[in-house]
Amino acid sequence: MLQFFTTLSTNQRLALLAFVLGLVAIAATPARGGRVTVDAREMALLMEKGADRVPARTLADWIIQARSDFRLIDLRDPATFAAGLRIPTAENVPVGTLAQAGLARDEKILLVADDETRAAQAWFLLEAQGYKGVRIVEGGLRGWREQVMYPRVDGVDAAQRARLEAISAHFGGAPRSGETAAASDTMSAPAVAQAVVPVPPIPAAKKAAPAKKREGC
Amino acid sequence: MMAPFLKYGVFGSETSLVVAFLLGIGFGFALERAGFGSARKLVSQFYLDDLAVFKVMFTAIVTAMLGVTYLSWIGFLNLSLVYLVPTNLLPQIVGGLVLGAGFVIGGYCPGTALAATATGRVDALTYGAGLYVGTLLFAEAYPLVKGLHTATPMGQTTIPQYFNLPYGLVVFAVVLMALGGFAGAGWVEKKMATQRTIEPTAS
Repeated sequence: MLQFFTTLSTNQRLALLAFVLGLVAIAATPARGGRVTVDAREMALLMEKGADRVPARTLADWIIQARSDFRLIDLRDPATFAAGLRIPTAENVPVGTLAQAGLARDEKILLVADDETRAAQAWFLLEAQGYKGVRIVEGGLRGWREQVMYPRVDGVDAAQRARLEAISAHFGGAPRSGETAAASDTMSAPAVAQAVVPVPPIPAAKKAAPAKKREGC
Repeated sequence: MMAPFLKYGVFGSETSLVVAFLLGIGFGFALERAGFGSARKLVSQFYLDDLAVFKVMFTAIVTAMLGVTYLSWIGFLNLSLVYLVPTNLLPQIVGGLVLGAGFVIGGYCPGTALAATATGRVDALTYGAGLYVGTLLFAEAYPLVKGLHTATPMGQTTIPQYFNLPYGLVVFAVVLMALGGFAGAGWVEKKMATQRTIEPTAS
């Protein structure tokens, strides 16, 4: 046996090695199955790193910059979506129809609903199915209202205040301070929502823009 | 520690760019050392004189495949997190034909053109420039070609998934295919060499 091996050229030895490794690999357990498997460790890691969420103000910046490398999905039911506050560029996809929404597994998907719970549920469903760039908009629409449209500007410096004012003005809101904040805090959320319904319409071209990819060759 | 390192946060995007740069240098070096910095060497593949391209590429495929298989088998690599280019069958067939035609006509493929440019070859430099112009044209004309580009989407799919075959069996089949290919390539090269030596004396 050893004598046979010594008569082989280097190429033949390497070929033999590849053959043996390939033969043994038949027993290799399939690492990707058709069934959905949840990698709990990976999900926990994403949560720990905060890679599962995006702050409302960051989203506002992206919309202002007209970035097209993400899709913003509003998970509320169509009636509520049509009647209430909408974030510009948002597409309405209720949770039940996510599978038919034509989302790509490698694109950045931002989820928003009234609060974080529904968005978190949808996040889990999508992550489990191998969608890799899913994030929750922090605070949901409530967060959008409080952080972007009507941010509190008490105790912030002048530069930050000007920035917040510019952002909220862009989305048809206004910063709150002192009494106005106290007054609007007592307002019910739907009342605020209805006061600001005239939101810039959704630019249709937005959806068509291909997601920017950071991987591949 | 688990791989892919970037996905598990072992290092960030900046470090991954440095790693990509180093790997790129290694890749370019390997291509050049295999003789792929010369268009003559590359096109002799199509005249069946020298099948080095086929052999080097298939060796790389088998080596990488076995490495990935064993690393994921021992639990070091999470294969489901490795990025796969989504399959769009029709546009990829069309793209493959365009790339193949470009390979035969120009004598390079994108990677080898860059490696050959580094050695100072003007033809490769021209080829590389064409590559960027073509990319720019594609981007500018995207609304026109979008229909083809997004046709027949199959998502990130693999052969074991699509044909519902055991993963390891596909690995073994590819190894057998490569070994058979190497033997066949050697035979073709030998046959062509004897033909070429007979032809001048016969004429």
